[in-house]
Amino acid sequence: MTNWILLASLLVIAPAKAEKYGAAQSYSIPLLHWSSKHEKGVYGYIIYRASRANGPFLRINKRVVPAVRSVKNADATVAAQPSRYEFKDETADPAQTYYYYVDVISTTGLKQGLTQPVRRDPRPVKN
Amino acid sequence: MRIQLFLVPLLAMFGCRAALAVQQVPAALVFTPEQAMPVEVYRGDTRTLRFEVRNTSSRTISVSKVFPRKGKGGGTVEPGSLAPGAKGLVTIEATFPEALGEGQVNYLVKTDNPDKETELLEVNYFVQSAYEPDLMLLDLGDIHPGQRVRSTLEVETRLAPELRFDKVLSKPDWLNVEVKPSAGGSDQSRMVVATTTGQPPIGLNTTEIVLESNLASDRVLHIPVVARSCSNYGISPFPLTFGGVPEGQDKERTLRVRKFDGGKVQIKHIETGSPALRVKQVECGKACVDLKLDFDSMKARGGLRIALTISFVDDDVSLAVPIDALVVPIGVKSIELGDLDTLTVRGKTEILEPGK
Repeated sequence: MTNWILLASLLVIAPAKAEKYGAAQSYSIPLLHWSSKHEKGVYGYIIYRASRANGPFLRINKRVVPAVRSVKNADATVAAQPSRYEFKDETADPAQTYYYYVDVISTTGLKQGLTQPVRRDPRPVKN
Repeated sequence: MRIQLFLVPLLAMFGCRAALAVQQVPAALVFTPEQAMPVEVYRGDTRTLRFEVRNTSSRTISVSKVFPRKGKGGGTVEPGSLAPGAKGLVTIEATFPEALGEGQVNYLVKTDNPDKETELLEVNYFVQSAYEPDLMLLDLGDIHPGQRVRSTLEVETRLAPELRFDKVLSKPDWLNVEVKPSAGGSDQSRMVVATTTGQPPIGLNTTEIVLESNLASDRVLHIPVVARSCSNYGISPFPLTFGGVPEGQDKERTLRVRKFDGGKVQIKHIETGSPALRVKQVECGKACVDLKLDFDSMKARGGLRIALTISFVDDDVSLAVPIDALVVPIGVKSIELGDLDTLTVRGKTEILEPGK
């Protein structure tokens, strides 16, 4: 668990591929990015979402996002780099503001906060 | 719990030679899971798992039984007889354990193949908790006669917008359990409040509170409860450990005996249970006596695991304190790792009355 303290947490919401939403305006689907430096004992990541800053936050990924280094036979060059992740929130309403945060879960099944909640506003897609 | 780690050189060659001596018969049946592996579940979940099975041998194989290597459960194979190259379906009803994290359960598939009568079907799983904290404990501490103690623990979920505990399925008789709204007002949190209604049996009590929630997964929550029920006298620390003691050296520890009603501590007899342990009594103020324990490692080769018993002039109940020590042989390096259980979240415990 102490390894997690060393995790460099970063959560950036970037526009995903343009999707049609409504007749008048298209919005991009929320895409979450984060990376971590150390993943010893990490099983994966859990993502939570809320419509308001004070919650309620609900888990949105049914399966845990697996840690890169938990993949067997990951080669040495992969192991030396920070692990980078992205998660496309297909269940979100792209026209709505959301708040997201990520927890890390260990191979022993214990959750721990990785990031603070981050706000993501709707992003219109330019035609 | 304090852990002492020994770094002892190992002869790896023995392991290598042993591995070479084992001849593995290749599997005739190959199993391919239909679901993503490891199977991700919540505590106590039961799941139906399906695996495609293919007969890779040159003979027809009939399957008579599918069962887990340990524990209850079972499975079926359709069809029961597989021609060379044929495919079938194995269906398993698996109940997963309460223990969190990665694990594996092995199923044995009994066949009529004389070359390999038992095939192995591995199920990898990952158990999660639907609650936060993942590990929780209500530690009520030392409870003296006439004393009431309350412990409060906040339990949360992120699997539903609202958490409710509709039923207390079980609890010890001497404990009252209430579920209250969280202090922060979140519908996803609940305060579990456990208050003693009487004195638990004298000694160390380890039990649990079992609650039923409104969640679809991990519906039954088990919260461990610990209480040390004392007579008029209390002891700390309980239990006491000397940790690692280098061979040939002595180590000292202090055991404090307090009298709850404020009167004079009247020790009748101390039974150490080992010649390696010497005890000296020292006054430490009103209603307090320190027992200075001196452990002589030369008189307990290997270590010490005893119960020191104290009897009193004015109390019929004797107190037994578990004491341990680990003697570290000369030349062996040891590292004191300290308290490893930093992950369990304990409830906030307070003494209600009398507050001595």
